Amino acid sequence: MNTTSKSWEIIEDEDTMRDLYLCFSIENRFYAFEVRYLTEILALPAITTIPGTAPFLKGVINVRGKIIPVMDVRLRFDMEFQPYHERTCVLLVELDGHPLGLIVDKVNDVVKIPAENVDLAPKIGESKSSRFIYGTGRVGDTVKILINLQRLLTQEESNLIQDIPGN
Amino acid sequence: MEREDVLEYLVEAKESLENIESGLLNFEKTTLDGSLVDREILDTLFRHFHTIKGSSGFFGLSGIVKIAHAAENLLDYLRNKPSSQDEETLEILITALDLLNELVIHEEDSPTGGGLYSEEQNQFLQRSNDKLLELKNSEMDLSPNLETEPTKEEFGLFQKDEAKQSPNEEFGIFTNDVKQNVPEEFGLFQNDTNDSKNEEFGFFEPKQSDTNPEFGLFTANQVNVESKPTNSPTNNSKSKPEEKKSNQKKDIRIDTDKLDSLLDIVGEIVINEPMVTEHPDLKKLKLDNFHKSALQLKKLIRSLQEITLSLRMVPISGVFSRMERLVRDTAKKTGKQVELIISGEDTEIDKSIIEEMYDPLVHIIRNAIDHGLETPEERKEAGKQTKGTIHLTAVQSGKEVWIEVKDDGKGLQRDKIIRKAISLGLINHLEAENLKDEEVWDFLFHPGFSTAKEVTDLSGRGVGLDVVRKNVSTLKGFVDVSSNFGQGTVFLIRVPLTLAIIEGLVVRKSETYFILPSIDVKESLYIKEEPIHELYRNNHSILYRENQISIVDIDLLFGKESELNNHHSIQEKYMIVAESHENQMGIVFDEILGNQSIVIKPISPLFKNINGLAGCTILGNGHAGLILDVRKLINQHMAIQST
Repeated sequence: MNTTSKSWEIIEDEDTMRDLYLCFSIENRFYAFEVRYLTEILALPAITTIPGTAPFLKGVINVRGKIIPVMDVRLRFDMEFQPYHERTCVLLVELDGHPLGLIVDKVNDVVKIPAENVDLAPKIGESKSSRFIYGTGRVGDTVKILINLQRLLTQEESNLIQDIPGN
Repeated sequence: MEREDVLEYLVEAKESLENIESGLLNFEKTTLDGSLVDREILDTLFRHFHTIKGSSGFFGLSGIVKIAHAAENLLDYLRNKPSSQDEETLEILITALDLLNELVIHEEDSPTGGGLYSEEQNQFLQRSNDKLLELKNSEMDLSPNLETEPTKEEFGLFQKDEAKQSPNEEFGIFTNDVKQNVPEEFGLFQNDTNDSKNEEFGFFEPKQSDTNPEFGLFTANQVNVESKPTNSPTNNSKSKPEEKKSNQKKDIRIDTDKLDSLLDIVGEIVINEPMVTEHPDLKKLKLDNFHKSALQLKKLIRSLQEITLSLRMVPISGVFSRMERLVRDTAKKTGKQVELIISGEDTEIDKSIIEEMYDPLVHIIRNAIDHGLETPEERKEAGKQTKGTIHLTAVQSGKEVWIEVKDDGKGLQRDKIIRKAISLGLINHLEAENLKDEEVWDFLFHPGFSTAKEVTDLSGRGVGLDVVRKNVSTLKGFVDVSSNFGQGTVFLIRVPLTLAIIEGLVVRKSETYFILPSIDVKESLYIKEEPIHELYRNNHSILYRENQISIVDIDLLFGKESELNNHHSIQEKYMIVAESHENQMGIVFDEILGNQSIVIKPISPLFKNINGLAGCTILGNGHAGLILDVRKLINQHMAIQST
């Protein structure tokens, strides 16, 4: 991490990282997740597709000698695939010690959403894409959709992969 | 106290416990052959327990402190009264070790502040206390006795274990006073009498009177010099700790994550080096000096790569020494006498492989003791020594390490195995007669194959050698067994030195680069306008050296529709003939980039359900390449086709 910049040093402190969210957008919706999961933001490198996986797992990328799987968040949310462009980003996050790249349309900014501005999502059935969302956060006049990163990789996926013939 | 500091300390504590274990095993060896344990071993053990006690106290792990303290007390007593040691004290010390291990692991998994948590642990404290008291009491009873049997001590010159030094007894007549005169009188005893050339007289050393006035003539050094040729039991116990000391290397503990990132970066440098030194922009320029420097840089990078890869290599001794304890416990449970002879423990092998070797070795060695070795009575009857031996050996052979477990037990029984194989329906009677021995032994690796009559807590639980073979083959290794009836059984495990690097053929299929391990590739061909026969959908064949072989593409191997359905001839494509268990198959690719040494990296656990990939790597062009598990793909594909 960049230690020459003072602001980073402060952010490294766990307490001040609380309530900070990284915002990105897909189509015209704004999503956010807790910044403490984020390790790095990358321009989209070459992706090596892995045959036989779920479509939203796009494949793997090389990040300075480390091989990291990437997921297309758009496909994960059952939205239509859009070709990647120069603003397409990979957000490197770490979940349970495993790095994962999230492909998103556009990264916006880091905002502070204090706990009192977070409303937990009402449980409306078992809707497929709502399971990734745990609440909404009010920031000024806008509302960010808060993502539960852990849920992006739940058990269902492994089942999904197993269902593919030949595996 | 930071949790991380505690964890770090616990790793250290485990190391001390390993040392204690080997010390105790030495202790046991000497106890069993009836001699008194060496003072040095007692001191070392005491020191280790003491260290654990001290450091654990610092971290507030009171349970560990209590147990270690109890063990320390016993040892301290033994140090002063070595004659009072018996099997029970040893047993208590071993229990102490087990409890300490338990506590350390417990503390690692669930931090509870290190207190005692089980009844057994509390009981141990009581038991060790009782034993100490008992020892002290018996000492009082015995003390008059001790005085009445001073026959040996009268001569003063003999060590307590003089019986084993029979060749030296002749000299016993020299007393302290005489000693000083002896050299002068006979001229044979010079100051340098302990030099190797004068070994015969080695036990007369000028300085000894300081250290050991009573037994003045024998010093510790001399016993070593003297006992080497005679190979007395005391020698065994003595020389071992010393050997260990001389083997001690300076080392430093490194977080494996740091090591891995170092490997990653070195890997990147290796890949980047040609990108820079052979940069297309430089091609047309005449740069003699640059090329000289570039060459130098290349050499340096090669050695950097070699060194970094060697960082992962550790001697196998860690796993081997853990087997000593296993042998001891198993022998005890089965009532058999077993000696484990270890050699080649310095052989270095990739750390990740070593860790995987533990379970297979445990299994094989347990089997060897439980099924292989006979009871002492049976052995006597068969005209063998009552004590069975197991040789555990490691040697490096080319790019492989061979680990051999050899017992001198009763060997495998062909008939019994064949009967079992028939009853499981693996073969019929007719086939059985023509089988070679090796083929018969191979049944042992069949899942669920156990010849054990009854389930014991050691074996026969159905978790058989098939698991061993499976574990070893995931390491790209092999297990073989050979046996002579009545003479014993040999298990040979062959594993690669390192899993990190393989030779592979780099190929491209549309945007994705694949690597096929060279070992699986038989031939690569350029095919143009070669007719493909469509047998039915997704099943094509092609003529290869007068044989029709299956031809597939990657899509089909991974369970999708084959592109070959749409073309009946291949244009400007390459076919790689791969082989698995005599099955040949042609796999179609767009381009072959060539042979390369590949640094294997694991694929994220996210993709764990994908069969047919052995790992990932990074290619010279910066792309990630996928390493195919060709054998698995072929077998899988054949299995689907045959259903």
